[in-house]
Amino acid sequence: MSRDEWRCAAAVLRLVPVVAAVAVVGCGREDAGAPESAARVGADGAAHAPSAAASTVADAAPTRGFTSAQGTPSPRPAPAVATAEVAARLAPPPPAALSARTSAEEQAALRTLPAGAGRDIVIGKCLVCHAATMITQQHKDTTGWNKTVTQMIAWGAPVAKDQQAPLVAYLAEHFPARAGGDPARRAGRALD
Amino acid sequence: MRDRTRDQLPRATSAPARHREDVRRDGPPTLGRREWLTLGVTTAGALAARRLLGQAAGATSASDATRTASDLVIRNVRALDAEAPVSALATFETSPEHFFVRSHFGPPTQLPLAWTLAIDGEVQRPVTLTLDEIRKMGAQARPVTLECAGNGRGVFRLPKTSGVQWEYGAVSTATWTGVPLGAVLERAGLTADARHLWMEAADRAPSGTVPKFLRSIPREGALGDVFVAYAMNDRPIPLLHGGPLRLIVPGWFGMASTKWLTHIHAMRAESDNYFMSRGYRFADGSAVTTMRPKSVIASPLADARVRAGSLTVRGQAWSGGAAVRAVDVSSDGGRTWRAARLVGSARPGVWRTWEADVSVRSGPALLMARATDATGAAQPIHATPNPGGYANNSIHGVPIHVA
Repeated sequence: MSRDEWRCAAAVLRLVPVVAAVAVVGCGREDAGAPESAARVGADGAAHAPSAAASTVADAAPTRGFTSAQGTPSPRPAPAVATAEVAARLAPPPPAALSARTSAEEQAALRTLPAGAGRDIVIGKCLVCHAATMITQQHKDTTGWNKTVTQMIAWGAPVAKDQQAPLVAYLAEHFPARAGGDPARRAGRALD
Repeated sequence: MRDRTRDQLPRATSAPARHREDVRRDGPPTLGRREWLTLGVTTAGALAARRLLGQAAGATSASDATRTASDLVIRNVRALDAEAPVSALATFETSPEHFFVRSHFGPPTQLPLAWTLAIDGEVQRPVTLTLDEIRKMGAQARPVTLECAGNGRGVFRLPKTSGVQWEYGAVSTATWTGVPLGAVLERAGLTADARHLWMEAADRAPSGTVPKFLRSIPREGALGDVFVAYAMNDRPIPLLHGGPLRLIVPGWFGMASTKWLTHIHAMRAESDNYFMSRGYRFADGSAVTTMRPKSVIASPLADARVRAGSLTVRGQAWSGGAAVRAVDVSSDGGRTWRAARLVGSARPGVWRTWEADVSVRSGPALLMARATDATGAAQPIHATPNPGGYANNSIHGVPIHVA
């Protein structure tokens, strides 16, 4: 290969994480109905505008399976990315049934997010990193949710200052602490 | 997502299932190994996978999808957290497609061309070993039971709770093959100052501002029976289960068995990582470490309909710090107990299959199993809840209907 060809190949490899992010984020937007702001902003705060060039590479590059579940590329310098041969060995076509099922689970969890101002914040800011299934199984009071949201903001969640209070209120209202009940009843379903 | 286990268990039959094959005959189709290898990458990014394959909208509802997919009980979609259906715990070795799945950030999304394990820090000579070099160092095969520290958290039904609401199936056993950690460390030569081994892995948080998952183990423990595994049930470890290289710490809850291991840093102090200093702690600040004595009834399943008379109850029992010494079974809600027959040898860190014949009369009945380990520690009927929902080893009760 000529020097230009090597340079071109290196450029394509460097694009891989970005392409992956675009593919996942774009998918999240389509399937989850996430607002444009969520779809385009990674957890690192950088905008990943899906350019035409990136889309072209996404269609052609052997990136199947090397996409980020979290929707963002690693902030570190990219290590050597697996070649197509390795990609094929490690990531043959995925089992459609399980893909469909996890997607269906996510959809079901999204449907359980009640309407309200906080819903858009959850979708736009929490689902950048988390699946809705992680949120809908929690039980916390206002103090507990505020602690969690504060922790997430400290870790980089792009929640604006004026969004924290409505977000916490929404989570505490819809995923609240539950009645403790009798400890003996709590200990086991079958012992209820 | 709540209380879904019941829906996803195979239908109860007139007689209890004798083998996993029986359980699976009428169940949903399961995945082959090749497909499973795929899961490591794809379930973490299931939406992406669907997009990349150009699939149209798949199943129209969760229940439709459930009937055509693996029968793992999905607790969280991304990163994938999924537990084994209780029926899959009937066999000593859990197949990779039923082995529970848990990680904080999902599998690594960028894989190196050649996997290596680097050892540095307080060592005489930092070394980097390739996967092939590690394989050539030996092939010690050992069955080890891994249990998520949060297994049973959902059963506590805590008023306030964070984390994955696991029920009974975040525990599985595989035969892991690898090299003793001590032998790997010898290549680098620990200095006298090396007191803790920090286990770094290739998984990445969704943002650089989120702490990595990086736990450490004390040197003394590392030189015990800890090993670096490259095979699971005689096959390369699937990516989803921590392959190609995973630390295995027998007896400890699963978070100690670092998946996707790439670096060992020999350090003077314990890791100050969030998941060491803040996570995996009881209310009094003490660390969550070894598994507690516990058992699970894998047959019959909850709500099964059985005939009056003799009934064989089967399951597994395990403990982290000591071998399981006894399992007692009750069919009358804990009023009377009888000793179960234990199969296999008594070893800490790996479960023992047990079975017991009990007599049941018409009407509802409550089966219970209680494990006792070699130290005399036994399962409580109700474990004391803790805020993190860790280490729930309450006795497993299984209600059945006797005709």
